[in-house]
Amino acid sequence: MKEKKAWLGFLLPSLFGVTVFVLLPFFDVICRSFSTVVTKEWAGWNNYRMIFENQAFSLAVKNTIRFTAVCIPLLTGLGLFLAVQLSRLKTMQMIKTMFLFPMAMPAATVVLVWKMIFAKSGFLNLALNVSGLLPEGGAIDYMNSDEAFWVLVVSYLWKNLGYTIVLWLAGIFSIPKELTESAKVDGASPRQCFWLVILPNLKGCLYTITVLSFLNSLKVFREAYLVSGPYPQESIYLLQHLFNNWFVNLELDKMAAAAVCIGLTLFAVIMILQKFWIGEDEEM
Amino acid sequence: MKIRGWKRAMALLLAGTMVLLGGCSGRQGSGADGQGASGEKEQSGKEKMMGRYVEQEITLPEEMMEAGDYFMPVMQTMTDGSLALLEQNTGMFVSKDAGKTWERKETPWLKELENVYVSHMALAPDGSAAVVYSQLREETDDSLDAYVAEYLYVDPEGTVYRPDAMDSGDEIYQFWFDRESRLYGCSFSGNVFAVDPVQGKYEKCFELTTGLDYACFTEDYMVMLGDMGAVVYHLGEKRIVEDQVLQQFIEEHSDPMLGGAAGFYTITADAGEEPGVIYLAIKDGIYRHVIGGTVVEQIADGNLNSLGDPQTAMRGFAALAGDEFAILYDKGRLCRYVYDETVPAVPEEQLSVYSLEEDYTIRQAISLFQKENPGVYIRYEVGMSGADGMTAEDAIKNLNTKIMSGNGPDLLVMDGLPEKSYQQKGILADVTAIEKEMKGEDQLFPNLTDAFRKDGKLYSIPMRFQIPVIVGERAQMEGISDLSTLADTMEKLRGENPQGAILDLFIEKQLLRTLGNVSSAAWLDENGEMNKEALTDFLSQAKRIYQAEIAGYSEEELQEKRELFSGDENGGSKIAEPGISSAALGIAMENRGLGIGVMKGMGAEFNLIATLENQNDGFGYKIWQSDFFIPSTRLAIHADSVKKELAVEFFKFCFGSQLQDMELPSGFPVNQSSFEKLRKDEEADSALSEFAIVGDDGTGDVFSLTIRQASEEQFERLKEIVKTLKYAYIGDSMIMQAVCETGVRVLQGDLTAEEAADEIMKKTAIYLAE
Repeated sequence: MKEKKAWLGFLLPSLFGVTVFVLLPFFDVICRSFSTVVTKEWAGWNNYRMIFENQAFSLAVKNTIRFTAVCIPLLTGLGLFLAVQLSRLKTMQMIKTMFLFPMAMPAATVVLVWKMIFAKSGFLNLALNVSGLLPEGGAIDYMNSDEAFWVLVVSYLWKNLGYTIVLWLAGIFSIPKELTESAKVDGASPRQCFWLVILPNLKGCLYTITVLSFLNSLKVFREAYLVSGPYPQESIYLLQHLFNNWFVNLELDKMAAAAVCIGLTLFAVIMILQKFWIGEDEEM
Repeated sequence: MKIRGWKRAMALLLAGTMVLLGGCSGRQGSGADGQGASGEKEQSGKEKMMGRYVEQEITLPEEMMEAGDYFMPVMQTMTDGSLALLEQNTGMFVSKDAGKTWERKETPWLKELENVYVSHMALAPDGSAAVVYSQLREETDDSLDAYVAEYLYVDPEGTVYRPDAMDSGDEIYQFWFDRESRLYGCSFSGNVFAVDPVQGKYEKCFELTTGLDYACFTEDYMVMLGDMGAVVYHLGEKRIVEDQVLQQFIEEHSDPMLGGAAGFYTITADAGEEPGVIYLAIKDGIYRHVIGGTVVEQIADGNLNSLGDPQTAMRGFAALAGDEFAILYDKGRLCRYVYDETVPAVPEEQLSVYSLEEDYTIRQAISLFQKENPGVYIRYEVGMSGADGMTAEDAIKNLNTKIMSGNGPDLLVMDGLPEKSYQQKGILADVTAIEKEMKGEDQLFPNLTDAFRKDGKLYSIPMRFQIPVIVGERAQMEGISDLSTLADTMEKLRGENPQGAILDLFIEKQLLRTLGNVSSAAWLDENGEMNKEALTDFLSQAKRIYQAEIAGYSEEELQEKRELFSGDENGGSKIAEPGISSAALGIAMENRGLGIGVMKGMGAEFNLIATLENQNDGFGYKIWQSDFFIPSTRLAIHADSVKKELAVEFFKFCFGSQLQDMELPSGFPVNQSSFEKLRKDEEADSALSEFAIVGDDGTGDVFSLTIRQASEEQFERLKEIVKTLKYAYIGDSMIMQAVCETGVRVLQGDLTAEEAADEIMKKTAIYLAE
């Protein structure tokens, strides 16, 4: 009987934390999304209507989706490709920790380097100029042009690629060698080995990496904010910029409505991913 | 059994959750933490804390009182514990009963200082004295090298010595005595010397990196305070001792030092009775520190006494027996600080006031209100103190968090805060009824308050206002009514004078900000969207004005002038807005053709312009962009303040004659009767101030001016102008920043005005859409 109840002991502490720090505040946010900020008067769907009519919200959602849609496939794909190549190296275990360095780098220092590289008179323009690739008068301020989006993408990849590679490597090394060896004995080519043996075994890993990459993509706001402040070039204006600015202007009702919409969307996406990957696994 | 266990677990989870939530919840509008709306919980839950230092004014010797503004004494605690004051003209007075009675002490040696300029004086605990002085110069002597420091030392018996100057040519500018009455001096080059005044010998102790402001001595240490922080020197071991805690405290708490200019100090200190203990007095209060110790503790709060009064400067500080203190202020005030254990540690009635940046006017109001109401404690919270690197955005976020958790301040100074949003969300109380009650002596200019009325409601009122004006030759100013006509005039003036300054605004951002201050109202249309046409016109005219300005300089001259400001720009600090008095003086000295800026008050601004008008028939001023004024210290009441009555009382006080009658640097008073009092009939013909400026053209010509009060006619004209003001310029920092950043490229020729307008609209689109 006691053994059967043991799960409660493990579950309760984290359930307690999630209830107090996530579920109850989120419930409060849901209530606030239907009321005014200070007077707490019933506002109905007014706050929701306002955010959907708000151009800044539309832009921030569009940019956030675009960023996520570009970055996550790039990061997971590139990470997997490099992890597979690196898994063949014998010295892999020794150099693995080096991949985590970008994660340990403080955002403030990264930002300083960005400024030096991507400013109009920065290293990138200088290098292009020296190599003759920059037409006269063609120097641009990368953070204040449409290129800012790609600067943010590259920065995100640089920061998260090492970590993703480490996760992929963990997944690759956890695949029993017998599986690949028996496939080879059965006459499978290396390509067949990868597509038919390794990749299906990395499905669980892919789910974790996708979710973590997605969560990390939200953190890229720090760098964008430190480089360009609360109103950056419009291609890198993300949802966090909007939330930050709304908080300054005490637009908590709009924030609450937007948070509910985003929370529900994220929940739906994660549920779909879970259903797609884990559900399939269970069927197998 | 299974169900019961599950229920028990859920009950535990829920109970824990409720306990945690109970602990986290804040009562709306209660101000529970003592920093918020009232600090009630702090008082109610615990036993009331008793005892604090109270201020008692000491009557000075009659002779010193009569000296008035020319009273510049030094104060010292003597070896026998008595308190002594020494002053060049009135002599020396000693009190053995902490200031109750004063006894004159003969100082025949002071006669030797009758016709000299005394720049610094020091009094030793044993009664000896040291003086730095120079001979008065002949009025015709315009040479800047005429100042030569001379020294005088008097021993306790009254024997006078005149120590020779140093062989190195370095000059002492401050003398200080230690507790053993040994003399030390600080020189212009930053060297600190132990001085033997009888033998005329100087022994170098150490070197300071910046100027010295104040010094104090314990038995073992010399503590020197200045812009460099604190330097602690061990007198016995003759070495500098590290005291990081004191150093950090001085860096964080002190105002810019005055360098002992005219005997005024922003920080003073004295040694206590216990060994190694020093007491420091700054505007925040009196602090105690043990040299080498880990804390600097506040023992008296400056908000509750004269230290917090921004118009009060210190002249000296003395630690008396029995842990009492004496502070000598300017205007002949000496106060004693005595610990009274019968009064509450903090007055029971509390109110909190918030401003984003340190606000001189509100600090003055708080100081006066507390003097009037000793039972009230006003906690003044500054969002961006400047010491912690807090940005405006972070400070506003913190304020919003406090407001939403019910710990918001009772009153808010709206300068720099999102006023529109606060109004819409119901954070601010409607003060229409309070404003209606302000009648008679308290009546405000209705046109100025109406500028803030929206839909019949009034949420904030400025305590002061400034007027954007243009000064110059009347004939030239006549045609100027907007930026386009200003540009026409500038081009005409440049044609007539190919060399030199016109507006003397050659830094692009400074010019754009100055012009933008009065033009920005046109940048937004009635829908709250950027008006491209207005923006393009502004940038085009700004470019014409800029080009006309810089055409009078060579590239080298411009480079040289810009370098003077490059430190400010690179350091991120705002380049100062041009003052109208310096522009008017520049025109009078024929250094420039026109001047634009804001007029903030009578003393050094309107009276100066009026004096120049009287001297030169052609000179005049006119309001720049009619109907606009710049409000300052916009005060509002928090709608959820639990101390509403007290908040209203303070609000009314801020607009009452007692505060409004004062001449403050933030602008003219909004109170009508206080404005009327700006011109004083009794000073009609007397000289308010006199000064002379040596021109920077290398000729050594001196421009001298005696400022007199504006005539009744001139003052009436100003009053009429004030009555026509209708619109308040409340800058939008985000839009101004976008315009200034992009506008610079227009002035430099990298973008056309139209391209820049497009870029600005793009930059601000998100901001406006939010």
